[in-house]
This record gives sequence, C-alpha cells and structure tokens, in this order.
Amino acid sequence: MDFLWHLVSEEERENIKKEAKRIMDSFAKALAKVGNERVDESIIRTEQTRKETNAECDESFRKMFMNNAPEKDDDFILAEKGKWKLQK
Amino acid sequence: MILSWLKRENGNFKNEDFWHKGDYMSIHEKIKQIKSGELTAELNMRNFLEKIRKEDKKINSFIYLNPNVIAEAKAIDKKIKDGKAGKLAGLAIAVKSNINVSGMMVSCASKTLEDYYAPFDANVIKKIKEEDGIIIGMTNMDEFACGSSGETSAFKPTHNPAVLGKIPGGSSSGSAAAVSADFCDLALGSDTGGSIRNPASHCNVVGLKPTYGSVSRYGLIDLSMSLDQIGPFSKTVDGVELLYSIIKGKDENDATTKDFRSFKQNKESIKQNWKSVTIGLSHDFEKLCNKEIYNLIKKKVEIIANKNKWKIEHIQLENIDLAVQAYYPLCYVEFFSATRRFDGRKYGKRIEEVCGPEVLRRILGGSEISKAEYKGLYYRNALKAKGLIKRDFENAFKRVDIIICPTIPKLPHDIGESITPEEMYSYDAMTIPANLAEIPAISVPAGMIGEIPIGMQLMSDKFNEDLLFNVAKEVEKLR
Repeated sequence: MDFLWHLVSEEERENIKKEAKRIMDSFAKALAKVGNERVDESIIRTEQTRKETNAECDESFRKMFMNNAPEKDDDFILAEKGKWKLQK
Repeated sequence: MILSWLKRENGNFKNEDFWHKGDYMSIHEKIKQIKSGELTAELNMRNFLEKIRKEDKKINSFIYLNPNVIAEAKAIDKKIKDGKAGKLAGLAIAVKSNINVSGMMVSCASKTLEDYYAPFDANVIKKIKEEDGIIIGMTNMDEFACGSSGETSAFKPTHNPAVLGKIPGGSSSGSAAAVSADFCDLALGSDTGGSIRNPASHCNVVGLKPTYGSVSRYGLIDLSMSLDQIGPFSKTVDGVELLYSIIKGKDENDATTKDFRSFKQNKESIKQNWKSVTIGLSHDFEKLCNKEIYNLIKKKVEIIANKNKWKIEHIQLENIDLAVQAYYPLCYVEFFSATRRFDGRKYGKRIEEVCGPEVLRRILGGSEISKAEYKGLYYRNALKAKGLIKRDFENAFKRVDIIICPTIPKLPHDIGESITPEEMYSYDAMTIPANLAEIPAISVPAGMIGEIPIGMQLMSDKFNEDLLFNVAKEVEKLR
C-alpha cells in the first residue's frame, strides 16, 4: 500500500480497522515483556493554580471564531446535529 | 543584490550544493545585513516570495502564504530605522500548519480544517512576533502530523528539494523542505516521535526537538499531548539556536512548561568542561540501523572526538528496541482523544468523514484499544516501557554527556512507493526514544550516501540544549 492521501471507502475502512487492531496486538505482545516492573511516571507540580495575566482581550477573536463556524444563527453557533436540527 | 543565500540558480537542486560550505550564510550574518540596511526586510520577503512562486510548484512546501507579508516587512523596516527592532527583525519564518497563527489558514493539511482560520496566536508565534520575525506562510505536513514521509497530506505530498523523487520525511515535511529549498530563513515544526528531526535529516537541514516542557504548546493542534514539542529548523545550527532561544520558556497556558531560571544553562561551565566531553555510542542503536548509515555516523563521531580530544564510551540502552511498540499505542490513544473535538460543529468538518487512511487508522486503532484497555495491555504497558527507556537514558547520562546515532535508520523510499505501516513506523526507531525520555535531540547534516543526505542525531540530558548546540557546531564544521 502507498501512503498517499485519498478518501476512504467503506470497504477500506473495515480493512483499516482490522489492520490497526492487528498492529496494536503485535505491539502489545512485544510490550508484554515489560511485565510488572514498576516505573514511576508522574508529573509533580508545586503550584496548583495558574497565574492570570493582565493580557487584554483580543477584540477580533470572537469575529474570527464565528467565521469558522459551519452553521450559525446571528450570534450563536448551531452546534447540535440530528434531532434538534430536524426540529428547526 | 544577489545574496549568497540565494545564489543557486533557480531549480538547480544539486546535492553537492547542499553539502558543501559556501552556499550557507549564518543567520547572524543575515541579521547583520538587515540591521545595517544592506538588505531590507521588504527585499528579503520579496526575494523569498519570488523564489517560492517560481519553484514551489515542484516542492509543494507551502499550503498558505501570508497575504500581508510585504506590509508587515515595511513596518519592520521602519522599526529597524528607528533602532527599535527585535532579535528576529526581518527574517522570514515558515510555520507548520498545526500551529495557530492569527488570521492564517491552519489546516493541519487536512480536509477537516481546510476552512479553519486561526483566531489567535500560539505562544511561540506571539514570541516570534514580539522579536519582529515575519511569518511568511503555513507549510505542508502529514495530515494531522500522522506520518513519517510527508505523503499523507490532503494537499498532495511535499517533495524533497535535496533529492527529488524521494520522500522528504515527516511529519513537518513542508517546514524542512522550505528551509532546504531557501524559501525562508527559519521554520517551525512539531516533533512527537521524530517529526522535526526525520525531515531535517532527509532534507539535509538542522532540526531540534527541545526538552519536553521547555517550549509552550499553547496553540499547537496536538497529535499526542504527552509527547509533542514545537521546535525550529534552519540550514545552520546557529539559526536553530537563535529561534529556540526566542520560543523557549514557561507559559501559564501550558502546565508542562518549566521556568528556565531553575535550569541554569551555564555556558561558562560548558566552556570550562569542553575538553572533558564524553560521547556515548550504543550497540543498541546500531542493531536497529542500516550498516552503511551507522558506519558513516560512527566515522564522523571519531573525527570530532579526535579533533577535540573527547572520550567515546559505549553505553547500554537495553529497552530502546521497544520504543516504536511503546510509542504507537500512546500516540493512537492520545490522538483518538484529541480528535473528538473535530465533530464539525464549532469549526471544520467531521474528521472521520473526510480524513485519509493513516489518520483513520490511528483514530480507529485508538478507539479500539481504549475500549480494550481494562487489562492494561496497551496504554499502561506502553507507559511502563516509556518509563524504562527514560531510566536507561538517565543512567546513560551519568556516564556520558552526549549520545550520538544516525537520525534515520534506513534510506528513504520513493514518493508513492508501496510499504507496510510497520515499515513506515520504523523510520522513527532512532528518534522516538528522545520523545519517550523527554530529552532534547538535534539532527545535523553529516554526509551523503550516494545522493541521499544522512543526518546525525545528538541527544543530551534534559534542558542541556546549549551543550547540544556546541557539539552540533563541531559536526557542522566538517562540511
């Protein structure tokens, strides 16, 4: 297979799903050798709060954010699909 | 004015040009020219735009060019005249299409976000703009950074200026190619398992993955948040060093970042201990690598060690053969989680409906193993392996200062050539360990095998980037 981008068909989608599971299972088999060895894996934070800055609000943010919305009604993004959308 | 930076004839991408000294101008020389008025920021931009217009059709390194770039350059020229310009004044910086730049298309080279324009600047962009760097455009990449070859972009693959026909590497393919083809001064990429170093090696440029926590990811569209880092590309080590010095530092919007004042990069102590640097080589890397590539790198290491009277020690990294197998379960699961926001409601399209095969493989694989995780077979074991690899490096850095190996274990394939996912994933076998160990790593051009550029990867202990730069400059002198 090549890695060039193309839209995926339903049949290919099923094959990809099976292949992804096969790859992960083979990797899991290799990882099984780490056994029960305990390794510390944690992030230690000394501060639990975030310092708020006095940065000014960017006035253009809202406009640009709204421009990205696929469906909107005046000042609202229509974020629901399915049942609610049909009722509208 | 014809700059030596641009002196190659249009379209003449000869490999010798990329290797031999003389085609390069240090970034500090370029800055000097701009600040002295010998070259204006505007002319710098116009030169690059002209070159992109003529030559990027065959490289495909840019997805989007900044429409305001000339106006921004004129404003910087005024600041230069007034003596108020920052450290990056007038330099053209290309940005990977997964880093938010206000008002620009940040598509992640996907159909999902092809209509998305960033409403804010990522922390790194804010810092670049504060120093008067100019964002020239957004570069091509593997779709959502899922790939090691630059082929999975929904905007068609990036081509390799250093060796046309071969993959440029990925996922920051466009950023590496843009630097390699002289379409910009510097570039930004992101590196999760090698996505900066891998294309840097294939395209014969320098690329740095900084220490995890040294550069803010605020504004980066993540692939795998426990591993992602933003880092710089340049033709020279000094360019990477300069851009890194601007973008690093603690950011309240990224809780993993650390305050650099607590990690003193003591340049004085590096100078004092310069003669006692110990280089580490490992048979564990050698086992994963094409013999010809490994021998080339080993030879170069011996040359710089002899020249500087450095010691070479052989070290054990016994768990790095698990790096690829540990990385992908982490990446699949975290990517699946990260993509849940791409549901086509607030912005973009629903990802599963318009993505390519590699992105879908990671989403479906991540979903499957998340459901099956109750036994801890995938993510938990991968985390354990990550911890073991991290421990291997911590032990190694008690004995050596720098660990060196090839950046890529094998030669690149042709664009569009058929290979298996496992073969694709193995490109990152040498680069993934640094991400898992959270340490900095740099790829520097080290020579050629036939027409193929070969990169040398240097790794140091956490927050020791200054030592990396100094040793990498020694490698650069071999050009």
